[in-house]
Amino acid sequence: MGSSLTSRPASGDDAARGWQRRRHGHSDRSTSAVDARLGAGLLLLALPAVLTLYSMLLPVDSYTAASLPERLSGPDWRHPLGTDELGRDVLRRISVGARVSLVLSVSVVLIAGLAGLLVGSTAGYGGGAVDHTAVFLVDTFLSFPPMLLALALVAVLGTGLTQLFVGLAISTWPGYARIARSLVVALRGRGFVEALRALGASNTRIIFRHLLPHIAGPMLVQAMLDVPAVLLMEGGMSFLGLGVQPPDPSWGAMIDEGRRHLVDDPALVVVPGAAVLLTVLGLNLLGEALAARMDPRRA
Amino acid sequence: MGRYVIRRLVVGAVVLTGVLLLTFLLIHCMPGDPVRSMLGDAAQSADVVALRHRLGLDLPIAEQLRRYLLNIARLDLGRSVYSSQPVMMLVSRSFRYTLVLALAALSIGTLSGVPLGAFAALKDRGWGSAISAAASAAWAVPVFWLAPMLTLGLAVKLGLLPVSGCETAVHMVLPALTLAVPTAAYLTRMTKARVEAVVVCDFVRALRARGLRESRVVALHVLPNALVPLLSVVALLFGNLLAGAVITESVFAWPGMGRLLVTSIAHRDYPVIQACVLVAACLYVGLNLAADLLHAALDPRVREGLD
Repeated sequence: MGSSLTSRPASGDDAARGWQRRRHGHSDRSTSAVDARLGAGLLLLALPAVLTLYSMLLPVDSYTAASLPERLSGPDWRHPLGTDELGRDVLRRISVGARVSLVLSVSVVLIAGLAGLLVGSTAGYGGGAVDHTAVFLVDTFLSFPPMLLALALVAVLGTGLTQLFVGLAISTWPGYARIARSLVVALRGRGFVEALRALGASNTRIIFRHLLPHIAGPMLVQAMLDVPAVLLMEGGMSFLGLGVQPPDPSWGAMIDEGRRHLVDDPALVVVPGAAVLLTVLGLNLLGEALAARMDPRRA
Repeated sequence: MGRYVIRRLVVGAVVLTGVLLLTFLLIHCMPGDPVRSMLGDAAQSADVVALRHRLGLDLPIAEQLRRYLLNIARLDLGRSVYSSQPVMMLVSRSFRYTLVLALAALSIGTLSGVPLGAFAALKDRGWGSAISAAASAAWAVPVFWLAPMLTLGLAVKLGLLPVSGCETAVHMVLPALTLAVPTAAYLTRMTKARVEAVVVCDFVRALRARGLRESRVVALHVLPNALVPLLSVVALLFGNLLAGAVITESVFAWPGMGRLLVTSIAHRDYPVIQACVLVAACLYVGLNLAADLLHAALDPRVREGLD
């Protein structure tokens, strides 16, 4: 059963697969290309970073207050990106949306990553029945397309920020468990682990002090690559009305609201979409640069 | 090979059992009363009791599980709470639409992504990096943005295509294009990486040293070696298209499974939600199994590496 962990691809497996590919040594991208990715990624991420900072300076509720006389107005000095169908400032809503999306996707990845790390490394190190149970669980969860699982969970739990968080985290954790497990299994038989055991180190100590540093790299790469994926899932669910709930702004929900004015005011769709696109592109580039940087064979 | 097939089938069966259990538990994880939330707060208590009885939710949980598995074995998924139609009929009708759309998107995506990726890998500079950059950008495009933008450009401004619906084959062009963009982008990147990895192998150097024409080396040796592992990627993408066309189908009013799921969530129609999730997961498992077996049949290293 354990073999399925390495033979079957899963959507969350990109980092592990890329890792393996590079370890077999054929990426001929030069260091300068990696640096270019890193630079471009950081540059693109300046946008959501600035938006998030701006959102923190805004007075509370200034982005939800409707002002019907100003509805669907074009850009001017008071509303640099114009207003939406309720007269709310688009720039302010985009900024708060950046904060909501970034905080949500980063915290989902953190929690899911930690849960997966814990389950995967315990299973991989412990072996036996614990391992079989964990692999069964992980394989079962990975049989559901992630977005579908998140949608089904929100359908059952109800809509809301907490439910969205839970839905996204539950559909993200098994990927980490799988990677952590296969990495720990590969390390378990190594000489240094045997030596540690012979010296009388406790299992907890071996896992946390000696195995974790080895698997932290690939786990971190996977996490970096998952943040944009989770951000897109959140955006899609909010677009469908099953994610962030109004009046809270979210890029996905803004695109959905803007669709009603696709012809008379396309900026309402174009602007939040561009924000998602640039943020996801920046995060992807950063993740790829990190993956290349952290490859031990290329250091 | 025989041992590999048997082991892989056992793994598939075990995972399928897990899927059945998790889908069964889905409705039981609900905080509060699923029947009340289906009928709304104003429901009469007699109606609540009747629906609970109809769904079998008043039985002991072991009995519920037994009936659930028996019904699935008989391909009976119950009736929709919203429209009272048999769930099996709703799902199979919408599945046909999803399948056609997914096949169209997968064909467009594969036929453009794989050649582009191979081309980008073999031409180092200029075109190669331009294609990679374009693929990176296209991979970051959110579908929930692409769909309205394509509508605006191709349907509203240029008037070339219908905005939404499913009456004719032309209605499929926009949703298929929307789904094909991320598919093509992903395949371009994967193909490029695979071909790059194979081109520098020793056997390719040996073939070149023997004086084989470059076109022959690429067509007969590099590409087959690079493309076989892509099978599982394509299967995965196909599975995602079958299950994950939720947004695209909703935007273009394409009556597939994704749209069925979203409307069922809006109607709190739990039997249909459950069925959609179950069918999608089973397809996902089945496709992965098929891809693995095909991969093993084509590449002896896969089936031998296992034992």
